[in-house]
Amino acid sequence: MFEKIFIEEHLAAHPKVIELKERFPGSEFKYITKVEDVFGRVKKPYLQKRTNLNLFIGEKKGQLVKPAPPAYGLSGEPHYYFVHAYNCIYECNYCYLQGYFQSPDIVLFLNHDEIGAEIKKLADDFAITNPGEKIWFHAGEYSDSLALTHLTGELPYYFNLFKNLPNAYLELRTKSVNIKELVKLTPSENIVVSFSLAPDHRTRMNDLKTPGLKARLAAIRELDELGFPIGIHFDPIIYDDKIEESYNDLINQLALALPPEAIKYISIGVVRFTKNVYHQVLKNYPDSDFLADDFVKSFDNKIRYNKPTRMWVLGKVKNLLIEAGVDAALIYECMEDDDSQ
Amino acid sequence: MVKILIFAHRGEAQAFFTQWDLAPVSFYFSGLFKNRDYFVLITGEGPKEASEKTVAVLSSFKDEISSVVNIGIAGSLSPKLKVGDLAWIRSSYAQNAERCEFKSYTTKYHTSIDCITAYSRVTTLEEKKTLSHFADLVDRELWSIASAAHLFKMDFLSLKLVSDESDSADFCQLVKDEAPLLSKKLFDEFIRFESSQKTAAPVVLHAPKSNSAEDFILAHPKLYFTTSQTRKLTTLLRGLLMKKIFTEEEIKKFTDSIILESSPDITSKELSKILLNTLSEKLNPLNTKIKEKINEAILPLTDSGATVGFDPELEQEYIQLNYQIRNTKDQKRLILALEQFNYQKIKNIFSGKLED
Repeated sequence: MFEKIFIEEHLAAHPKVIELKERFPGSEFKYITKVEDVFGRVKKPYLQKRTNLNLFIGEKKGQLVKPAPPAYGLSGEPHYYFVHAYNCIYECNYCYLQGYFQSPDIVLFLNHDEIGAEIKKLADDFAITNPGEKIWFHAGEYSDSLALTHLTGELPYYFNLFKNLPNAYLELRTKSVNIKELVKLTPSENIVVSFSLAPDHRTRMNDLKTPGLKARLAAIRELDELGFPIGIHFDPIIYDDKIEESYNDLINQLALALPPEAIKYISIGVVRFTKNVYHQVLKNYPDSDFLADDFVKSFDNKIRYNKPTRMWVLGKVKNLLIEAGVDAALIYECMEDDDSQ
Repeated sequence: MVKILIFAHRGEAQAFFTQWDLAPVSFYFSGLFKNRDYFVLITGEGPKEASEKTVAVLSSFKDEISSVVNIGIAGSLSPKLKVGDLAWIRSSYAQNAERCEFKSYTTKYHTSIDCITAYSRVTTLEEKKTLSHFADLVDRELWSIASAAHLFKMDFLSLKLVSDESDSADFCQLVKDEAPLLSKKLFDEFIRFESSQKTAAPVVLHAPKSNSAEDFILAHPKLYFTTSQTRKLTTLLRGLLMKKIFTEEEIKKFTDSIILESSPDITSKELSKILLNTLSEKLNPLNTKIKEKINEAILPLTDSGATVGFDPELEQEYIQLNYQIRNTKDQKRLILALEQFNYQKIKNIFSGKLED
């Protein structure tokens, strides 16, 4: 799976490193001072992940928990994200990671204790200043939260951490169906597993190398039956002339796996790119059908559909969800300005 | 058009000179040769020499040269590559002193092997170890040659032969001893590659196929497209095909139907414009609907004689009026039009409310 595995020297004796050596005897293990000495130092073409992907093991430095961008979760509550990994094994052709790290190699950080301490401090401080209110922490900003959990093994640590932080909520964002580590744990009301979903034809066309829609819905059903709170992301929505029909089908299929009243929240967002990512998409996936659409530079300099189109798309999908029984208060629009009145 | 084969040392190119009848080309420096099918350039060792000479030759002969091939030896940085192994390079990186050049160049034909170009000779195993984090092979020229090819928008390929292994300190010893043999190996592999390319079906990406819908439309005697309209047509047709809205044949039939339905008096330019608009509607019906709705909303203003503009990208919500008042009648007409115009309709459109 990994051609080379780079380890920060001071982690050579870490149990996770020893485990990786046993698990990947065919990989070349290389010891480096720090991840940044090698990762991202040269521009490694994104699609090289198809032929040889490297893995980096290190410790995350700097600010470990950061405020999330606006419209990142239900409004009115503070949202933070934390980073314990960079990059993803999947290949969604719209993914912003194409233009973010200049390398598709996977980085895993092992200093969960330090990340956890920062989360705890923020949650404790918030509990003092805002008693009775919720604070959110999101995993999966730069990686899939579940896809590699059989290797990374951090889930028990975060479940234990959040068990003792009742005012804090954890979101694990994923497109994976790798739930075997998750189902070993006891569900917690304040830990939400959120799945990104798209209509079946879009999943096949755009979410390359990810589990199919059926498999994701099956994972949702299993987790729901076990009592795990589930969130849903319809993001990014890609416009096509079948959009109403295909999202109606998706919502109906979702309802069979997860009753609308069981959804903790659902986000809807229309496809968008930074300029750099858009150029990477043109280079990496020039035949993607959505590249034939008219995109414009929008209010935050991101490349999006024009405003009437994206508001129409968001309105349509939101109405379909409400008609299907989803509480409107639990639907939020991702990364869209609020000047829509 | 011919390829240019670029070597650092004459020794690496020995077999090419033996097998081919290469004549020197009179140029600003020695080392440039040519036969009917190829240029051969000997640059000398190092990135500076390679860069200067490649740029000079590509600049002078760009109308004759189609692509660039760097051929030569390289040191192994990976235990998987042994002396005598041949590799077509995937990505080219570079290291200058302690720093890596951020920019990389990737070839279209490769075997998943990357090469890093070192600005100075690699003389210690420690240096090899550092470079091995980034690539499988190290050389002294490839990145400069790839950079020059990129500058002239030419494809580049690179064939390397491993001269020393990752744990060996006998840098380049083998090359000195066995240059003729190594060069022959490079020559044989290059010839094998060239034959395989000739027998393989040519792959031409995104070029209009002969008898394509685009050819059909552009050659139609009843249509005339300006250069910018031709560009727009290409984009629209590509979009319609990518989105599988139409096949090539369906586009041809659709074009015929537009022409048949048109008035016999219409000019070629007008007909082409109608075709472009209709194809655009097919590609993005929602945009068409949005524009129709805006035109409907501003109708009281346009009926009064005002010129009404709006953001062509449909991102910013505004309308812009241009109206000439020459007398009180004009003024009253504008006042009446403004009273009839309902800006809320524009707000609704920008809020995505397109249904009546």
